[in-house]
Amino acid sequence: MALFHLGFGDVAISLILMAVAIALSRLEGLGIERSLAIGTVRAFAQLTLIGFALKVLFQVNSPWLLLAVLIVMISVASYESVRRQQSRLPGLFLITSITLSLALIVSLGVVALLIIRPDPWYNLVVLIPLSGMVLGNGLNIVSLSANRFVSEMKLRRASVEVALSLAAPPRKALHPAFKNAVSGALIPSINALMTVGLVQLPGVMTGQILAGLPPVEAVKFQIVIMMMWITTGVISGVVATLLLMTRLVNPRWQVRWELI
Amino acid sequence: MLTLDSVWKSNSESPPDFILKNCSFSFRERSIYAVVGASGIGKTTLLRVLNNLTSIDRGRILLEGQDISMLHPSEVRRRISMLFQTPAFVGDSVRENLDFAARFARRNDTDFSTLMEMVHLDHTFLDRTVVQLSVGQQQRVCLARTLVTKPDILLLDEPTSALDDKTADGILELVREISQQEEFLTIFVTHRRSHARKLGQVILEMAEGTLRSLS
Repeated sequence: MALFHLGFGDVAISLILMAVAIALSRLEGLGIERSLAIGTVRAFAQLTLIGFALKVLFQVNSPWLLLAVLIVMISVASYESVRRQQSRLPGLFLITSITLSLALIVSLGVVALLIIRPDPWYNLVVLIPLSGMVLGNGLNIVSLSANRFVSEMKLRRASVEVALSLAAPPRKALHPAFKNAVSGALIPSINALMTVGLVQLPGVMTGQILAGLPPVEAVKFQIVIMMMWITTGVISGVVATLLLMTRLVNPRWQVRWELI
Repeated sequence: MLTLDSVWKSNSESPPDFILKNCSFSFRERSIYAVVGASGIGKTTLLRVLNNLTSIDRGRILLEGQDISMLHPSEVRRRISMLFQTPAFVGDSVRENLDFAARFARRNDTDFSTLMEMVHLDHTFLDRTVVQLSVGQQQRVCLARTLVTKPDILLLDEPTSALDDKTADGILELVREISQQEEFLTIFVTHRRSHARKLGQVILEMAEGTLRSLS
């Protein structure tokens, strides 16, 4: 049983915090007021909608429904990753879809089927929240690493061309850009892993404790979630950037600079 | 030895602007060609096409009679080496740069000290970081790096443009000495006719997408 109950009025009071953020953005000329405002409306609408939708989905509970929900989630995540890029990258929608599907298969395969073992195996109550975490983190890492990879390629164009002209394969010539892109995208995840429990109390664990679960139980879940979260991040960064590399280099070992 | 056969190459603009227009020319072995032309005329593109760094739209490029599009990219780049306009590096130290080139050229037996002598640098330079070097010294290191692959053909993309006259003359003299000693086919592009005359045995002009002989 929940220790605290929130009414919709209580939730609405949290808008005070967003008002502070928007005021600060306006004061300092950050230019993100519109995004914050739209994001707030979307968050309220999307979360309210999904709250009701999950109630229905959990009652129906079928493997086909699970598959349909996952396809919708992956498609939305892939669309968002394309929208968040500074330049139009070829095939990024497909790259993100493949990457997130792979991350989902690996993560859910271990966490759901080996650790949590829901009954039935396709139990939406377990799998949809876990998938949301995997896809959300994967989307962030794909967006960050793709963006950084393109910036690094542009920045390192001269040394990339030198390496290629010395007969280095594209994977080797682009490795410094690849390494910086993926490791840079993973900095927030690695920081979170290093400071979890000391600085950060993750949302899942906090939510479970506030909802009345004993802290030790909440911690066990959180450890599993952290492992899944980090692995998802690494898989997403590595796979998406490697797939992007194959789109930006042709079989003649030539970089298609015109695409970036 | 190296032949451009009706080569067309456009930029990526829309509509395309052709940089090479039905360009045909045969470069003979063991010769030094200097290609002159105004900035932006497409001299660098010509070398990038020859080094397989970019594709052509139509035509063929033949290396000893073989179409380079049929050869593996690594083979083309091992046989045709390129020195770029601005020094750029693939490692922090001189040795790392030479090691990189040796690894992919499969020339692990290369004696780096001899290479350094060839470009008139002391062997102690091997363990120096490239950022410590002057631009002239950096360009000599880059020249040594292109030699690691033991190429048949050396492409030089205005390697003296960032250098003062005295240093530039030193590099040109060095290139002449090495090209003759190693019996390379050397293709040197420049916008400065004085540099073309200093180095080139055959002087070509690039204009309107083609090459024509001036000598």
